[in-house]
Amino acid sequence: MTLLHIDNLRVGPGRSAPIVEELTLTVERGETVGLVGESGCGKSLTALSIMGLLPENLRVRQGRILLEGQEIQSLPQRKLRHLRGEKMGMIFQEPLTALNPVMTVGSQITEVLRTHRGLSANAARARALELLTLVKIPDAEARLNDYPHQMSGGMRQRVVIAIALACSPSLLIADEPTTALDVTVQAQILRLLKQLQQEENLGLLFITHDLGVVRQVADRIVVMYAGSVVEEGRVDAVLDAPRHPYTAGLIAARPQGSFAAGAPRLADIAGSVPAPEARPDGCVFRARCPRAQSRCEAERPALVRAPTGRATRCHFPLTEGVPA
Amino acid sequence: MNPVLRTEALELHHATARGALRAVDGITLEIAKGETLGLVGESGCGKSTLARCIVGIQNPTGGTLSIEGVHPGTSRATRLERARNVQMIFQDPWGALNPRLSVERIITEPLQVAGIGTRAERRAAALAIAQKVGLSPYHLERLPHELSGGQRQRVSIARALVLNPNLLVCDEAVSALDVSVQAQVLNLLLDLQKELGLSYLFISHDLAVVRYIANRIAVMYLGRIVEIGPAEDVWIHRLHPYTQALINAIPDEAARQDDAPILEGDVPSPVNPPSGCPFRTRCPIARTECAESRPELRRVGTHEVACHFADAG
Amino acid sequence: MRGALSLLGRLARHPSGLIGMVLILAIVAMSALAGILYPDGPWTMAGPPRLWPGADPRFPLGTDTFGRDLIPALFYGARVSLLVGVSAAGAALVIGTVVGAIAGYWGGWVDDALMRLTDAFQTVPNFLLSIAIVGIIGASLPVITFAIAIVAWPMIARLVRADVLRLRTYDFVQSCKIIGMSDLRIVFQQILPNCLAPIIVTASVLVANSIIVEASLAFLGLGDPNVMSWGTVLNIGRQELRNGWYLTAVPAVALVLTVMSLNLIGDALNDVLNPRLKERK
Repeated sequence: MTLLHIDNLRVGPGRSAPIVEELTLTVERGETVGLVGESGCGKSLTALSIMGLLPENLRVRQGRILLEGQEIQSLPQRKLRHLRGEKMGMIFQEPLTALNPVMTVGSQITEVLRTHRGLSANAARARALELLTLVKIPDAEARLNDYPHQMSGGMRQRVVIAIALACSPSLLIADEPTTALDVTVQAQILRLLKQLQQEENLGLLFITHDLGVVRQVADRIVVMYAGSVVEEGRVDAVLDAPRHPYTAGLIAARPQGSFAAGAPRLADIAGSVPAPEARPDGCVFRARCPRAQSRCEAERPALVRAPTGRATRCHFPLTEGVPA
Repeated sequence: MNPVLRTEALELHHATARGALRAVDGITLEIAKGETLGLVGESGCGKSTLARCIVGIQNPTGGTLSIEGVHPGTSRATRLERARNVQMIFQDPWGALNPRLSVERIITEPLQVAGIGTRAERRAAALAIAQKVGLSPYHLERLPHELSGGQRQRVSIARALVLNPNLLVCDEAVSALDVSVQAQVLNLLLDLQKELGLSYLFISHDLAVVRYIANRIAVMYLGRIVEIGPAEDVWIHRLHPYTQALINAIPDEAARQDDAPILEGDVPSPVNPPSGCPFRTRCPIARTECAESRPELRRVGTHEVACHFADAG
Repeated sequence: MRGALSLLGRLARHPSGLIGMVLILAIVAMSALAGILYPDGPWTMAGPPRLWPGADPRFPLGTDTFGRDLIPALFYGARVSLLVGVSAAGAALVIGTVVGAIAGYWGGWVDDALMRLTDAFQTVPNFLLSIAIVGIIGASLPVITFAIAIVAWPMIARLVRADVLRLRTYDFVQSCKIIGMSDLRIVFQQILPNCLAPIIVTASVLVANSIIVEASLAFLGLGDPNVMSWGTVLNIGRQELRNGWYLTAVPAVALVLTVMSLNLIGDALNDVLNPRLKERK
């Protein structure tokens, strides 16, 4: 059974324009899916919808979210809270704000275990120690009594991961988990996440704006633009030969080589991501798209899925061999 | 020709309860006219503090600093003098502009403070510079919150350039921007450099961006430069184990690198840095000598590196 | 100016803001019309003393122990209350803002010195200090205003200091330093306009507090003997509490309504100026 299945999701405030629309996404057990897009594309909101943590003014307006076949967006808060601890874990971008500054790291982990698992104080402490060792925190026993501010950013993120894994969830959602970290620490955390994902056979939904990070961790990639999925497929297939002009543009916009040593000017994408209420009719990307034609204005392209799992939302996709 | 910027053994030590915090600990470097020096290093390495010393927000506690051959003082007159030579662009496009002032006011403020031109002349200057950085005249009447992140960063650049400085310090100037907008701003910086002969001190934690834009790269660790040289040279023939670790750690966009070596541990505290070589606690090739004596920068090939065993290892 | 007008407009759309503004406008009208409607002033003995409200249609709210009509007393009292309230709050705002801004921006020993001074004022019980000042220098409106302002500014100083501390780390402030702007200009032209919202909210509460303190002083007999304030009426009523409680009740109701309207406006301002706070509720 599919671990996480999001079916035609639409999220937004009451009457005005939806922020996320027509979102279909699956995560299998033992699979890492990279959800990629620029700010305002709706990727974080997708994560919050799955966790049932949407801000009050926003709601799931349409579609279903299934976790192991069970529909979760209609569950009562109490059940959802239970599910959140037991089956899903979440890792945030900023580990400092994800942790309670006045509680020791140890008590934050044991608290989770005692509420969700009803463990005794001793058992919880033993499991907390085990978790800190699992996320490779050196000298774990002593660190249990530390407060978050006594730890480095990388160590704090490891603690957040330990808390997310406390109840052995089957799905882990990571929202830009390495964006606030230095590049050497990012490499450590990415490796740790990959290893944990394999050992625990987790489904990992990894949200990031960084294509390099996706390439390193993900099996499949889902590219979002202005609230919709524009391209999807195996990481290698999509990044090596993007079909949607937006994906191609994202890849081309990253600096390669040295300008002084002869690298070309960067291929930027003109303009910026439109706000939800300012999204154009037809294709949402057409205003910034070098390939846009009149059909793109008239008709919103559908996400066309090939049997290989490759999907593209574009009337005039790039075919292989055509430079981006 | 005189370098635009020259620092010699520049130091900034803060007194803290646990001892002196050596944020900047003896930096010697030069930036020539029209050149971009890329400065990389992890958080806490002192790169932002160095930038703040150069633009005069912080005062160094040792060493010398000269801009266009002049040692800037701290009096009001020398502050204005320095302002005409060096300006800065900040990381956060939301915090860098006063939310209550119009874009025109933000751009003309440096001229007004320096007492340059009449109101009409300043307005004309703002229009000209706005056009140069890719803003339209109607943007001048807007308030910052009405602009996108990329547009705000263009406003910051316009404000920084309106006094015609020679040196622009870019402290993570594109880090908060989306990739597509980041490329726009990087292209703009390159165009402006070519047109105006600007020098950049370009600080970023994103090594790919620094490699792309810089002529030379300096790598900082715990307040000191550990490697400096021509950009492609440092990138390809990286000698210092720290430079190697930094570049290896960049997630490659083109291929998966599952077994690249990874640097373990965190940056030590700059209050009590390790004895000898500050990097030895994380260094894969450290030997006993590294704890005893601190390696100074020495020339190896086209660049300089501060490591006892850089060329041997 | 445009900003101020749009602020008034938004205030009028807020339910408690509207009620507060209507009430406060009524009180402003009372003080403005006092001289026109009652050219003889509030001190004239117009009728028999100790007349209960409603007992004589010529004096709907009754008369005091000297036979003075209570309505002109209320009208003239509104004048004094508003005058003292606004000027004391204004003075406290100016002192508090300057002290807080200087302490927050310059930091170091300047901050230490100014904050110790602020502490010193806050450790003395406020009302006692006001009483002492008026008692020593003498009861006149300027002295009363001074006595109220001198105990109220520390609150503003702390508020402004905290905001300036936060704002001075913003890059736009750093950028002003880099372009060589003078520190005074940075503080007063760049930073302070950005802390206006909490200052304005506090100001409305401060006016209300000042009105209460003025009335309290007058109630204790420390009011300016030459002006009719609501506190003056309260003071007269105090001696008659047992057989003429209306004498206390009438000015008290005026006082309560005024303070309440100012607090309503303060609440509304808080909502209007910090929309984010409302969303989080």
